Amino acid sequence: MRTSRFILAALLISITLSATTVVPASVERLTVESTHVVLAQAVDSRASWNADHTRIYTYTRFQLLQSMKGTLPQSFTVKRLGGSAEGYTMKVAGVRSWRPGEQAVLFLQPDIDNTFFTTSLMQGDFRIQRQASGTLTVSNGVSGAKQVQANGQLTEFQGSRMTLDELQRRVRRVASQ
Amino acid sequence: MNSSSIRRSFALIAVLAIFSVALLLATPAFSYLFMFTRMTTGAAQPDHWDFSAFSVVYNVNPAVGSNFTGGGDPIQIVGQSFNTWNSAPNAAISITRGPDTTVHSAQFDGVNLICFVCQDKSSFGGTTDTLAVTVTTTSDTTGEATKHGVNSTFAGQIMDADIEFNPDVKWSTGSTVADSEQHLQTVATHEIGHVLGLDHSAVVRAMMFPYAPDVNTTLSYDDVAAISQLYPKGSPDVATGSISGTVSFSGGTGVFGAHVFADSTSSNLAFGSTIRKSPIGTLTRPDGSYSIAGLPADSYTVTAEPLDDPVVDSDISGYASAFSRSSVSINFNTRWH
Repeated sequence: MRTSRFILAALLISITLSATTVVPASVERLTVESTHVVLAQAVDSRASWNADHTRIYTYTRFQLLQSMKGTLPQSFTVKRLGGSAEGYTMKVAGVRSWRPGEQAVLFLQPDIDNTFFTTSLMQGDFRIQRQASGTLTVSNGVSGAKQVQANGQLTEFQGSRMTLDELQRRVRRVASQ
Repeated sequence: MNSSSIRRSFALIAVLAIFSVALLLATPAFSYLFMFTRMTTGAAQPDHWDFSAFSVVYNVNPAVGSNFTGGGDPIQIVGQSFNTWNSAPNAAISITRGPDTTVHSAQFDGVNLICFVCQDKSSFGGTTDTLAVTVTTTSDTTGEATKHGVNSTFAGQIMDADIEFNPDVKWSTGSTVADSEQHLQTVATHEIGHVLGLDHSAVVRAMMFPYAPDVNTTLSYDDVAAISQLYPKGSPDVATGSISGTVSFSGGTGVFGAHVFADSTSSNLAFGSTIRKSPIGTLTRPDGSYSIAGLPADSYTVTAEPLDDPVVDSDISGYASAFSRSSVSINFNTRWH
């Protein structure tokens, strides 16, 4: 898809992102909106109905690897709407699940039951990938985009893919303010 | 023309595109996709409704906040968005408005909720960055209660679907949007595509493309092909066919998740003037095979490319897992034929 990226980019009159429909948020904005930003590794997941048997939630247990904002215990749980239980599957379009062993930088807010949810759904979930060069990169899946304004001015959203080092620097810069 | 010269041509078009919106309208890309349920047999079943099993209606919670501008009626606008899909060529869709409801959050309750003042703000990730959320509930097997007095008859049967619009977002009900606003009909039409079982498409001009322009209220050829495959009309409005093949690495191994699309080389408007012309495509299966269905009679260029941007694996979160894979293959170069 590389060859058509410019074509796509210029086509976008706006960079609203529909998924579930979200507006791309910067790392800085996500950091401000989150009480905690951590590097963590998924340990296991379980899905179950709520007490009213109206919603399926997936609870993923994470091992804390590094805190960038806020303080969390070594083990904490992230709750997400959706998952499979007792013959049913509930899906939130665009939201991914975690597999055991996956590492991610998570932008979190506390939920009412001592769990956490990711800020702005999938946007607060930067998955870590090791490139062939050995560099660790992160992305929450939001791609780069450009927009042509009515006045012809071109503006650009850089997308979320960056090195883990850059993400950590940007988070810590905001968290320290 | 070989691949490298085609790439140069595309690069030239790309430069021109920055200066010409008109050119952009003629240069999109790629494909439709369904949401999937993985069956106990290991096969992946596209999620969809069975309109013959029970009457499928949507139920509006009519409460509307002061965050709506533009003078339009949000409920009527959502109705127009449903009608856009209901009137898609070659598709037999039957979703009408049912009784209003007081439900205010997405749940499996037999109510297909449309809610503008939704109570569960964690659904949106605690911010206004998330404009709207669609939640679907499907059956993993046959024989599960649907909450409509009958049991499910296939895995992947959609039994409930809810759309929550973020009450903290400023919504425009007019034909334009200010910088601080979002266009209700544009977002509603995209979300209803999810209600019907569609996942994201990588076709730039498709309604189901994950990045929306400010205002986009009409379907593309890609959307029509997708929805008519899920809900085929007994007597199609427009005759269509398919293009099939296999994408393989040089050693013969099939490429999983390659993006294959058919792009018309003519100016024919088989689906009429109200449907925006776009390429039509799909992703390859684990063995590299593909079948692009829903193609009106025309001449096409077929392209295979990696799903590496702007739409990536995470935009179609269920596809790889539906085939028991962790991700799609992107370690190959784009090919035109």
